[in-house]
Amino acid sequence: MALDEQLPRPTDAELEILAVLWSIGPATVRQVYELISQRRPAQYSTILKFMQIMTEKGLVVRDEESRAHVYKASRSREWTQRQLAGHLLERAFSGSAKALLIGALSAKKTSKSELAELQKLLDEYAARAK
Amino acid sequence: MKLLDLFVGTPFSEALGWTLLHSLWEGLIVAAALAVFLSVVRSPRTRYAAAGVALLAMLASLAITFIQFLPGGENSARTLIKTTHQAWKELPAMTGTNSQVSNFVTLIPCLAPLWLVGVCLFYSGYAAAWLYLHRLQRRGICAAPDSWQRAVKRLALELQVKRPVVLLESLLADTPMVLGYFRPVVMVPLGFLSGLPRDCVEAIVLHELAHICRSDYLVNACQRLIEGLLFYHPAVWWISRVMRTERENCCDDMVVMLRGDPHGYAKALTALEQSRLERQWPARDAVVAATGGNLMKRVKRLLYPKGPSGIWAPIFAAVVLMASATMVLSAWQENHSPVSVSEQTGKKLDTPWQRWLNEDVVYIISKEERVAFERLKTDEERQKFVEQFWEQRDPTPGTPENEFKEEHYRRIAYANGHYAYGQTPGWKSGRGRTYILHGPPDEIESHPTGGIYGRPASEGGGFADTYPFEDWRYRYLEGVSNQTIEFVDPTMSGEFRIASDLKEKYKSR
Repeated sequence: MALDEQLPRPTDAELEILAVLWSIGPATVRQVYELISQRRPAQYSTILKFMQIMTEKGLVVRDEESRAHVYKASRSREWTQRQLAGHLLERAFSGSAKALLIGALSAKKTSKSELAELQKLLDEYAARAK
Repeated sequence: MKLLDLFVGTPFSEALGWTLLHSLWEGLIVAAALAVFLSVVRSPRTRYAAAGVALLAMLASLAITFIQFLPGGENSARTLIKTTHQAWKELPAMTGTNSQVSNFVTLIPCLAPLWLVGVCLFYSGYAAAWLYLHRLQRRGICAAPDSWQRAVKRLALELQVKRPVVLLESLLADTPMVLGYFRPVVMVPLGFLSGLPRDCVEAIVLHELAHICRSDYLVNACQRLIEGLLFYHPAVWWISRVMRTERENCCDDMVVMLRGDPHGYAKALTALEQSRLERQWPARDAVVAATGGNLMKRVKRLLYPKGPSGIWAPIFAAVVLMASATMVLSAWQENHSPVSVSEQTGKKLDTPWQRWLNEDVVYIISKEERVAFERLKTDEERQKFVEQFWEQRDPTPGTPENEFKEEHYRRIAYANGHYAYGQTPGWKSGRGRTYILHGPPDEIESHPTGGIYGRPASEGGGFADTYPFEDWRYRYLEGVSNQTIEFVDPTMSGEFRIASDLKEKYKSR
C-alpha cells in the first residue's frame, strides 16, 4: 500500500483528535468536541474544520451511512505511534526523558524469558495459597 | 584555547581539581557507611531515607572540600581533608624519584574544565528530557473518560493527596507515569484503561498516586541534579540506584497496605509489563536487556516478604563498621603529625649521611642538591653523590688533592676550636658560619669586653658604652669590596650574633 507511506505526519492538533478517536472509538464531531473541551477551551466549529481537513488528508475516514457523520481513524494507533517514534528528534528526546520518568515500571524493559518466569512464580504462589 | 589556559591557571580551577580528587575517597566512605547500614535495615522507607541522606552528604562534602581549597579558606581549622591533602602532596617527595606523581599533580587544575564539560552534558540531557516531557503533556493526549476521572479522585482521597490530579491518556507514553509536581498528571498509554482488568488498572493508578503523595517527581529531579554534578563518581550511581529501587518498593508497600492483596498487585504489574511488551513500540526497543530484572525482585519481595534480619547481620555490620573506622582513624593519625618533607626524610636517613647533610655541608649545599640527596634510596647512591658533590667544587680537577674540600674541613675545625660557646659547637655560631662560608677575614677589630668606645662620626660621634663586639673586614666579599661584618654579644655568653644594624652594640640607643 504505497498510499500508506505517503500519509502525512499529523500535526499536534490533529494528533489530539486522533487520540480521542482511538480512545473512545469511532465518534461524531460532537463527541470528539466534548472530550477535548473537558481538558481545554475549544470551539465546536474549529474541531469540525480540523476533522474535515483530516478527511481530505486521509487521516480519518467518514462513515456517511448514518444520519450524523461518524469519523474513525484511518490507521491503527500502533502504526501512527511507529511513524512518530521513528522520527530522529523524537528518539533522541525520549531516550533522555527516561532519566526524569517516574512510574510503576522502570524504563528498562523485562525480557520475555523473565516475564515467563514471573508468570510461573505467580502461578506457584496461587497454587500454594489454595 | 587561550581562554582555557587562563581558566586552568586560576586558583579556582586548582581548588576544583583537588576537590574532585578528594571527593573520590570521601564518596567511598559515604557509600561504605550506607552499605553497612543497608545490610542491617529492611524497611524500604528507612533505606530510601538513608540513601537520600548519603547523596546529600556527598554533595555537602564536595561543597565543604571546595571551600577549604579556595584561597582564603586556608585559615580554617585543620581537618581530615587537609591532612590527607598534605600527605597526597608530599607523596612524590616521600616515594623518591617518582616524577609521574608530580606530573600528575600539575595536571590537577585541568580536571576542572573536564568536569565542567561533563556537568554541562548531563544538564543539557536533563533539559532535553524536561522539554520532551513538557511536550508529552501537550501532544497526542486525551482526557480519560469521566468514570475514570471519578475513580482517580476516589483513590487520591484514599491516599490523602491534596493536590488535584488529572488522568490523561497519551498516544506517546509507553508506560504509566507521573509528571509535574505542582499540577501533577498521571499519564497512561492509550488503551491501558480499557485493555486491562479494572482492578489491575486501579492498583497501577494507585501506585502512581503514591508517587504523587510522596512528592517523588520533585525528589527525583533533585536527585538527578546531584547525580549530574557527581557524574564521575561510581558511588553516586550506586546510591542513586538504591534510591530508585527503594522508591518503587515504598509505593508498592503503600498499594499493598491499602488493598491488602500482594498477589493481585504482583499480577497487575506483570500484566502491565506483558502488555507493554506486546505493543512492542517503538520498534527500536524490541531488543531488551536480559538482566533488567528489577520487576522480578519487586514481585518476589511482594510475594515472599522477608522478616526482620537475623542476629548475625547486625553483628557483621558492626564489625565491618568498626574495622573501617579504625582504618580511617589510624590513617588519619599517621598523616596528622605535621612534619615537613625534609624532617620526615631526614629521620629516615642514616646518621652519618644526615650529619654530612646537616652539619658538614649545610652552608654550601644548594637547595636543589639537598632535595636530590634526600630522594636517594641506597647508600651506594649517597656515596656517589657525595663524591660528585666535592668533585664539582674541586679547583684543580684531575689531581688527587681536592683543595676546596680540604679547606672546607679545615675551616670547620677552626670554627669549632675558636667560636664554640656554652653547649653550641663552633660551626653553629655566627662567627663560625661566617668563617666557614667566607674564610678568615683580612682584619679583625675585637672588643671582647665591650665598654666605652669612641663612636665614629657616622654613628653619631662622642663616646658610648657597648656590649662585647667584633668587626670582621673582608677586602672582597661576594663581589663587593671592603665589607665589614659586625658580631655583637649582648648576652655576654660568648654568643656573638651577626648584627643587622651597627647600633646593636650600644647598650643605650
